[in-house]
Amino acid sequence: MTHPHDLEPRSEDLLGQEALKASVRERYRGIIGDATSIASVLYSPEELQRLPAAAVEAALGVGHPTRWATLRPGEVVVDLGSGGGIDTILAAQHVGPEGRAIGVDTLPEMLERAAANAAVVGVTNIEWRRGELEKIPLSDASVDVVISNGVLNLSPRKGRAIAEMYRVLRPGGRISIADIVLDEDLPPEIMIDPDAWAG
Amino acid sequence: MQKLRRAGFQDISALDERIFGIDDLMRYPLFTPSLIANMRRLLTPARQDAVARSVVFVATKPAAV
Repeated sequence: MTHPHDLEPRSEDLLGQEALKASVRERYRGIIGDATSIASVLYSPEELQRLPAAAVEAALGVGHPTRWATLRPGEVVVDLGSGGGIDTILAAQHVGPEGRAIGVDTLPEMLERAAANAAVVGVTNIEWRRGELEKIPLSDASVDVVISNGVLNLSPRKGRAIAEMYRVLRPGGRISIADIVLDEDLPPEIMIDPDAWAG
Repeated sequence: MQKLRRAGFQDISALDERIFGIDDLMRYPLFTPSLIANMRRLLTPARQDAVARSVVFVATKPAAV
């Protein structure tokens, strides 16, 4: 005999993935501090001059994906986890007025902040969308390039996030993803710290 | 890189490697003072200079799929 509960969808977050994502969101919401010293390591002085100070201060990336994306004028590029908008703005400047950049972030307040930053430097070929790496708010084969900076490591479902990048890319499209790699596990006391996951 | 290959990407490369020690991680506001203190306490001096590394993965979706 089938128990009624066997027919109900199981919605529990058995692997804690939603809890983990919520924890990361909360930590990013609460960021206090100036990250200018990060940007000064990753970006050239010429690039920093073209960027609004507030975007530079909010930079939390780990590399320079735009530099390696070989963006061409007229291309459509999506920045996943756009944060304060530094890489999205740079990408929009690279693809020019015939091209378009799309910044995707899970936090509405980050999107508002990034949009304000783009307005400061008069970059208008950007649209901002709320969404997640595991469910990118774009249709199939709709972009030429996917960039992301220090965000993929925050996803509890990296395989799914990568499959989504593949889905939204046009045939022949490319990715340039800066991310953190651990060659050797850290001690458990550090690995279970939510701050370590968010960082 | 395996996950990228499995998804169907080709011409996969890892570029622009940067080593992150604890002093580098301290620049990131997400790393709290207590987490940094734990790292200093639990990691060997050599590991403290190379906690993680960053790379830029580039790859292409095949032109004909």
